[in-house]
Amino acid sequence: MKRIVVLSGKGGTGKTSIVASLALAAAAEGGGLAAVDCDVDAPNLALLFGMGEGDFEEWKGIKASEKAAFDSEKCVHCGKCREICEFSAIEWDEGRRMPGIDRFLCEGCGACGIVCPPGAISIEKVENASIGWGRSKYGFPVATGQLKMGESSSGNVVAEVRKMADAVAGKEGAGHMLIDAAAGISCPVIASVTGTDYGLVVTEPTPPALRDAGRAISLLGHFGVPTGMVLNKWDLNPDFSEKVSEFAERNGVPVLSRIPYDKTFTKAVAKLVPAAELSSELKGMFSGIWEKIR
Amino acid sequence: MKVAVSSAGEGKGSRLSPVFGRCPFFVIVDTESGEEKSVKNTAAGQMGGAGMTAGQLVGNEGANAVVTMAMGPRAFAVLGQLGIEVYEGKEGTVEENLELLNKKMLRKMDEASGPLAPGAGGRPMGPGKQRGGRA
Amino acid sequence: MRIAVTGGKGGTGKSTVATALAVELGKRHEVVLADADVECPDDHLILSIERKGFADVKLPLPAFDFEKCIKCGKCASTCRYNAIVQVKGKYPIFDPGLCNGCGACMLVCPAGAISRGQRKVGEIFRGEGHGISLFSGEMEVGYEEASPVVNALKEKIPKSEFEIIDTAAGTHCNVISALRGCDYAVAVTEPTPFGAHDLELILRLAAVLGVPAGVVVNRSDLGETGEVNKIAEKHGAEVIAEIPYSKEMLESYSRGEPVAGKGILGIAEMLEAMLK
Repeated sequence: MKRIVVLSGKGGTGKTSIVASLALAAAAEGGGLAAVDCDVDAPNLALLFGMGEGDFEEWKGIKASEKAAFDSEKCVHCGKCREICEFSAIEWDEGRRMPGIDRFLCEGCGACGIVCPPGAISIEKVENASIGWGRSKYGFPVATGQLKMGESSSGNVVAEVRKMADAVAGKEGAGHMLIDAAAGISCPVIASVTGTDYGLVVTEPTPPALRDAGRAISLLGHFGVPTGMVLNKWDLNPDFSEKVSEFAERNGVPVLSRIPYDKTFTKAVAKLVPAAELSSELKGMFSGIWEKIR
Repeated sequence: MKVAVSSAGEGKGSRLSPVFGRCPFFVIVDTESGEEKSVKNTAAGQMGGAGMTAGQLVGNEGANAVVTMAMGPRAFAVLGQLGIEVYEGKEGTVEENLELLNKKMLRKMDEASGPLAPGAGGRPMGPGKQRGGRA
Repeated sequence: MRIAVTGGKGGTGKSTVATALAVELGKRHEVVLADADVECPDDHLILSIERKGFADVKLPLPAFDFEKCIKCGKCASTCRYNAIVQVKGKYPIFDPGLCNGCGACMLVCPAGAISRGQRKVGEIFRGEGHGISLFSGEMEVGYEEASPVVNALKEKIPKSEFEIIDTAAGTHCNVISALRGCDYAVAVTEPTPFGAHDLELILRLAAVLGVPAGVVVNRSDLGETGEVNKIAEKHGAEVIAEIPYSKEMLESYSRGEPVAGKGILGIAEMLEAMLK
């Protein structure tokens, strides 16, 4: 199975819209596809396939985060835990002379547990997200996840979504997997990129998008993933688009397609369908991109 | 010498498993005595750093060489520091790969074969670090 | 007054609004703009401000003294991030890429062989232009955690009448770090199902963190604003501005010039009134 990850660095370049239309092209080929939304803070891919809560075959809470748990009865009020915490996650309750652990700041490292003389602090797994998969109306499965509000370890949640996607794709014998990564380049994106066979960087002709595409390209290079680029909304600034193409060329990244700014994308989002479904021109363009990366 | 082969199951008849850090088992064979042992890869279910832990596992088993198909940069660095050689296996059973190794028909890997395996990169990360991040 | 400009969904125009707002307020007040999107900071490009290195962001990193090491393996078994492995009879092997600087290994080493070293995980840059001071945080590529750089940035910016914090997209730890402790959050959204979905998430996050929030609907004429208005109302957040799509704004943006307009002025005036 070939795994293709789509990322951008900067948000709003059209990554999710492009993944959705590419998925249609892949599904049309008939080799079997699994789509995966790794943007677990704010997952939008399933929405764009018109999927709602009722479309999910499996949806479960997962414990992909660890936090310190405190047993107040054992406390000897020494305050060592608060001194040792590197993440300022322990506040001292002057009244009760006991620690209060901030679950948002706690990293679950266990240092407090190590120094606590009576062993009143232990590390426990906590539920920090829900993940699941469902079948889109186009026939292929879509795996996604949602981080619980304010929770952390999104990288681990992405890892769990990837595992679920692998299991589903394996059972169906899917020939390809399309992964929609989160914006940025930190741990949830890294967890989206590892173990993939091709990376598609989506960008647009603005200085911020170019800069961020550069960082996304570096990240893919760091992990040894062959890379290509899609330049979206290129006609909004043809001069800058030239600069982007030159940059890609200098870095050995082929520009697979230049997509013109098209209001069809906006209409498609409002209708909750992939843009390629509304325009035969776009459909052809995405088939072309798919041919090059499959 | 002792060879650890990443395996899909227990025993020499199992298929070679492609990824070092996340394979389900290691089959460890002493090429001189013929002694064979299968161990579960406890690193497989880890959130992150599976390559590191798998390296530690085969090191603790006394392996001098590893046969696998894909290995990320972390695992490769760990095995390098432990002086364990890595050979690129081929599709087939563990036993078939051991024979190829014996006939010196397997390529020695002199660098990591590629990116980290699926599921890697996950780490418990929080919003903290108010004391840590000093500028 | 510390104001976060955030949005959940990427590409709603968060940085456009943050930079435009900073420049507008900068005409009448002392303003610091902190670009807390440390994975991909863009504000210096949007405003064409040249940045200079200001400070490195460093995190603790264990340093191993193998002469003292007794090869007991306690460090390896204690590390919850699998950053240290140890084979019996050999020295431990450490991978800084997996280390988060918690110091647990230093605590358990019976031989005192692990001490507190440091490593650079990011940098803070500084620049001036358009009447404001820009502080830009940037995380090293390949390092996994953005929060330490965001926190260091917030600590380093000088106190100012207005401190505008431009957060990253999303709702995970780096955004939480940026939002924490702000007096107000401006949530920038767009009138689409994605915008609405993500607005819901960011307003809930702001509520959890105790930060009052207001909503700005960008490209307001390109879709139905009903949904986002409903969500704002549900969370007790005022819709402080609706900014219609403007090709001129987009072109200014792609030329690296600050964007302006009635919508931005409206937000600025509201915040100035709050300051009094």
